[in-house]
Amino acid sequence: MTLLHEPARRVLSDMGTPAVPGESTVEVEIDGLAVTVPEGTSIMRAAAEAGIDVPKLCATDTLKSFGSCRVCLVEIEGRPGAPASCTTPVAPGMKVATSSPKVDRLRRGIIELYLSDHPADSCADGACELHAMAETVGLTDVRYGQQGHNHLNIEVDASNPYFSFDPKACIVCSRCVRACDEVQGTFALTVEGRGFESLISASGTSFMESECVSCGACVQACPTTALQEKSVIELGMPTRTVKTTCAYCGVGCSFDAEMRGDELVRMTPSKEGGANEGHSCVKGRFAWGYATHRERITVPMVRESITDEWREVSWDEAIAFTAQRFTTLQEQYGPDSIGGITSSRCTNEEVFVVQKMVRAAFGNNNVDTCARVCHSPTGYGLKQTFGTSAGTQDFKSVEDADVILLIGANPTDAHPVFASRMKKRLRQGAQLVVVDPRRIDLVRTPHIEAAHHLPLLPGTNVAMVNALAHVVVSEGLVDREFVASRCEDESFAAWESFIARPENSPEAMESATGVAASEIRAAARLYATAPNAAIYYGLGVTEHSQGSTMVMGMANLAMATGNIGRNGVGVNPLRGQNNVQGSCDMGSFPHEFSGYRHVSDDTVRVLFEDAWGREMRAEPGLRIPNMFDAAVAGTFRGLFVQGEDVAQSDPNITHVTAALTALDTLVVQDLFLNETAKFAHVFLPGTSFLEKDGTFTNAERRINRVRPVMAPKTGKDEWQVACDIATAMGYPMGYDEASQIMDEIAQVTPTFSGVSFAHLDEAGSLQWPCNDAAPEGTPIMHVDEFVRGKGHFVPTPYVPTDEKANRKFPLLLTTGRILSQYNVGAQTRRTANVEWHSEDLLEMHEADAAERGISEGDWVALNSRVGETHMRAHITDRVPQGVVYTTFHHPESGANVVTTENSDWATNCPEYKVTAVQMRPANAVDPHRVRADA
Amino acid sequence: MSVKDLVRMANQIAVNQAHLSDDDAVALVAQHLTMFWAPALRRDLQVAAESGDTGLNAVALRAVRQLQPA
Repeated sequence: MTLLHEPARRVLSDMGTPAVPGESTVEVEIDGLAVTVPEGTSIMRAAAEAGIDVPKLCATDTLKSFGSCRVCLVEIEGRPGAPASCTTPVAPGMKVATSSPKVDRLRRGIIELYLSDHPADSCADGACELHAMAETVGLTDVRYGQQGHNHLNIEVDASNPYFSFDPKACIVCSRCVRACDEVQGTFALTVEGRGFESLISASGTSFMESECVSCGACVQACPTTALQEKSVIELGMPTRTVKTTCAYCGVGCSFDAEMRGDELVRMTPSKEGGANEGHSCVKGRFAWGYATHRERITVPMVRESITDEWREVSWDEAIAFTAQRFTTLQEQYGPDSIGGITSSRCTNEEVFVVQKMVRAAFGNNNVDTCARVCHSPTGYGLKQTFGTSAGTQDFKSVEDADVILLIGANPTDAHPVFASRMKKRLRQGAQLVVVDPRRIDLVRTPHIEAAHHLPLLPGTNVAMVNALAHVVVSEGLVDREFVASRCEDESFAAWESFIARPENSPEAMESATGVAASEIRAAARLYATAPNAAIYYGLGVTEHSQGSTMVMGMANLAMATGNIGRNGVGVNPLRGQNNVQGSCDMGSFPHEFSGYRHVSDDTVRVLFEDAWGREMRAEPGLRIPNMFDAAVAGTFRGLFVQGEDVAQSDPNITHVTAALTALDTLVVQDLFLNETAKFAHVFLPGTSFLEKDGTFTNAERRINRVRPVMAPKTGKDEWQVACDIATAMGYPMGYDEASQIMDEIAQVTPTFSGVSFAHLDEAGSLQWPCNDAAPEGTPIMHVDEFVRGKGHFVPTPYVPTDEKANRKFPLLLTTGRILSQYNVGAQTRRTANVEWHSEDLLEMHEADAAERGISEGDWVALNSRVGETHMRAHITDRVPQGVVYTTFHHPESGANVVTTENSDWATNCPEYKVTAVQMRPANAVDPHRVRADA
Repeated sequence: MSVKDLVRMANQIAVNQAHLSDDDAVALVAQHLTMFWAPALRRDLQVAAESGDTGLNAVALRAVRQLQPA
């Protein structure tokens, strides 16, 4: 056969083997060029540093060298044979020839053998590195034909909805296996058989039935077309690339959106992305099809009443309709009768203009954000103790952690790309303490076992953190030097005295937490004595009646042990949505402007009044639950909801829907007619992340660019919609492009003063604060001093929640996320991810199930004091007896029908994680949720 | 917003200051209500506090009485 192919695109920027850290260097000569590299660097990488690409197949710079393909052979002066350049480290004075008659002949022979058992048609559009290498080494013909014993009749595994595995094209280089092991840390793949019988296997089953989590690392690593995206098979190889940012969780992965014309072919994780460094998860990598889903609404719609049919209208009519109704409400019921909710799924620029619309055009501070129901306690707690509402570290910092204290977070499901980074560090020997009622995967997963799992009862976080801190204080584990130099003397003394009280001891807290005191003591010692100990936490911390107290408790613990201000330590919130950090930064809370500055601050208020030309209110506005309560009471009449589905995501849905029904005007801006839109009078179609031009800020304060890969399907940018409404209400607001909004943010927000689209494009990303003091951003915060100056300790008395199990509701329900789905599922339910999770299940302990006559898969009625819903049972030992657990991704089950109005004392963040419930077998599925009689 | 809910939330703030002296707790609760609650909520709570037995605990009641007119 004759070969003629273009080199594969992805080969070109690959250095072959990972960079080797270190100060000591070695000078070598490669093909006559002198090159100096760190000691331990492979010859292959050294050559790449000198601009010489050594042909390779099994090597890639994201994986440890393996040396199986033998294509990268070189000759070394004074050494016999032709060693593999990927596994041979450089040595001082070494002289290497990457090309010679001998190695060129060997390479051609090896590649020829590979091609003799490789389908000739697998190289379309340069997708196959093997064919590219054949071109590189000058191989034009394969002498052997394909009539011999071969693998060309093995069936394709197309079980995964997003990629297929074609063993015919596989060269068994193990890149996929190693990617699954080293990058993702799932260990789902293996090489079965020996010699000629060797085959890549998803551990003996199909990819879909295996442990594979569909992160795409294997597909990314595959040098041939053996593992390939189905979208590429269907549409062909991409022809152009746009760098952008994922719109799912708070990790904020950077991606290359790879296009063919105007059609998105695939999303591949960017190696340059600071948050993900080339890795991805099933959502970001594959679940983007919702953006073009047939249920997407792209035309504005209005209706007089929620019982009327929707009427499609022009943008001009929709804007005029909205403005007229809002204006009329304010004339009739006063300026405070309307407000808005911003979205953590939208860009910083879109959020900023909505809160500006509320403050300047509505003329009040009735703006809140969905962070109200997730990380508002983080904002409160970290501001009180450290001085600002932000995680202290970058993600990379975990690579220096010796002990990881993971509280109320399930990263392998909710923040999978960060979880892979964390797992890598754990496999290197870092110790893990998991504080969670549920046995999450990280408690025991391949090659990882937590040193301690503290399965506390839901609602007892503060009891736990106090017990941990009590051990630190009572056993002399306080870092006195750090505390003396970095923290307030007075507040530390008060805290130390408080925490040393006997009632905070592990023994005293044992009855509350349900965890043995000895385990708590051991975990506390492990954390406090580690060279570097880091706290990572999620909504299992914040969504409690003492969410803010718990955040302060963790901050106290970190300060007392000196675990702040350097790599490997810190207090790190894992943010739920892609732009939770950003939406909070942008001034979405009713009490503060962008940059977390209180509305009562005269200086700040004047700054905004000068910039915006309107008088600003000095009093906080309504929070989301306040808005709902006021709507029911009849004093709050109009609401603008940007990209949120409060009728599914917020607690006590019966109450929420009563509030939404009571509104005179509800305006919903979203991609889909979601649950909230059922109560809306105006539907303004939103843009997907593929159409947005702006920025997202992830959990490590990293501001990433979101670049449009296609024009808005709605014909209008989302930020422009808010501007148009404001203008129609008498407050002229407009920008030519999104970059001007960021310029305004930088102008009025000191922590963003050095941020611009141009700077972001140049730097790739920037972590705020980014200003004159830190022109290239701030990866680690509080290095020399806290933002507030000295660290502030706050005593954290444990106050049991009012939501207690009792005879009528003897179980405690807690909620969370699953890997394949995302929040209320508006996006992921409209992708093939439903093949993994098509419904919410109620996890329960076998004893609780048996006591009620419930078997696996049975329909169960779940009721609390506020409502009842139905879902099917999943019996598992992941949850302890007395605790049940479910996800909240599907409106049919509506987990939030049963969650209550209980909330964090400081922020009103709902107590999703603790609801007293009862369950019983349900004979038939009742799709209609009912309000409890109780 | 119902007075019952406002009272519940104000009491909750007060209960979480149990580590402070009564005077300090009262000051902190009053400051919290001022910094984070919309004037309408504070006003409703003030009216309720002056109208009789609302169920406010001692610290919350003193804090509400210290609030500036909203």
